[in-house]
Amino acid sequence: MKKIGILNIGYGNVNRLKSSLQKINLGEIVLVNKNNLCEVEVLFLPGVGNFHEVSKLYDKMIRNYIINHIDNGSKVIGICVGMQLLFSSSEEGNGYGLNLIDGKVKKILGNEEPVPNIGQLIPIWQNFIIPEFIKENYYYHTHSYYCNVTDKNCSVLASINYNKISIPVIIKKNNLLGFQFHPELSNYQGLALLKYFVNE
Amino acid sequence: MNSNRTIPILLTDKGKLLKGKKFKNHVYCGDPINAARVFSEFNCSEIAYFSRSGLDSKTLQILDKIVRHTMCSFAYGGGLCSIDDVNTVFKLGVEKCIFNSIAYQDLDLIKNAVLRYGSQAICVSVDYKIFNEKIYLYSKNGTKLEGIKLNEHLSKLVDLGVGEVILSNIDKDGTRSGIDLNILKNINPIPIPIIISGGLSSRSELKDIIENNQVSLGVGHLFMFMNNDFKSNLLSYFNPNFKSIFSKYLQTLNSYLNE
Repeated sequence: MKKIGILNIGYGNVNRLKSSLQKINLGEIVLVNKNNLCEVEVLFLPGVGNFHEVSKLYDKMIRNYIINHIDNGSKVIGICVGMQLLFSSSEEGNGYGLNLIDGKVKKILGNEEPVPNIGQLIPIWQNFIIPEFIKENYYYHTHSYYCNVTDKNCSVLASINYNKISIPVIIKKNNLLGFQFHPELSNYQGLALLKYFVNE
Repeated sequence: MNSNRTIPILLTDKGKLLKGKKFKNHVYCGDPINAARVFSEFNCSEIAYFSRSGLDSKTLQILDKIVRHTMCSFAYGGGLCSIDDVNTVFKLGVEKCIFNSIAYQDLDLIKNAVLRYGSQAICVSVDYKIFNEKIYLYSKNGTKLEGIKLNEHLSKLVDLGVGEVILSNIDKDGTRSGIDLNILKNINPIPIPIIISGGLSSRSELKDIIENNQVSLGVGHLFMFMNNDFKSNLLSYFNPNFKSIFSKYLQTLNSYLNE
């Protein structure tokens, strides 16, 4: 059993993520805020938010807390805007990200398909050993921006093609993980995916 | 890849699940929490919840429970008049807010909500009627005629950064007389996702629309009643895109999750 933290600093669908994690029963779940910066083995940076606004909530104290966790070898998992926050900047405003992965968060351009991209899609996995029932399944996407990864140490485990852009949807750099889609909103397959990556 | 959604629409009043015809004559259909759970178990991608009574305390309790008991995206609309209302709803863990009447009055609210939560979290629902081939917009649960033209309203919303729109034909609501697909021809192209709702007649119509258009569907009556009446209450769900995959892996997923 692991101690799992969810960053709860005034944005994101924290309650939803918490109840999803409770359903798969992986361990104790704690909501991490400034009054409770406890040590955890897996730390979630939740999704739903505007990069610029959310980045303002990541003050020095929170940033140090996250970086300490990464240095200690704990897993940090960003979902949606939480994943985008792992980069230095975004075209969605001029806020500062955590600058842990090289690259830039860009707006999805093109008019072939509507933006935001909202709906369930099967990602294209890149030579990655994972059970078929997780791999060949639908995950709920809802985003107007995507991470353009340039970091050589960061691998793209899965991506989607949208408006002729290859959009990374699962990325991994050492103990950092990012999901562009929302596993917590992707029914049973989303829970299975969370379970797989938390235990990995 | 086709990611068109079929979105069950739950209409409620003070926490009671209802379904009406042409926005009137509402019939009691049970408990919205139960309905949301059932739709989530059917593996739907998104549920839209509308409250005619706004954000009353009963509704807040229900939203909290639905968030905890479902595993799909959840959108809320009804009585969102200030940024505090919007904050309250997002704080519960709801992923999307839907505005309707206020989108004719307070564009700043919509703009601020987009700035704070991102375009993908903000949706505007537009109710309309057609007389003599002209489109008229209505607010306040279909009771107040608005002066603005549909295309003008939509382009304003797009400029504000709204992430998607729901177009509901009031005279089709609850009738199963076929969806008003023509509305797509009557609007200028917009870059954001469009959901149309009202009057879906059958699963075959649903399949045909989803597979041949770039549009998502809001579904009320068809997913709530077996027949074209208001008695045969039975929740069902259908999205031709996902059916085979979900049933193929359901058992394996369940055993993996229970390991």
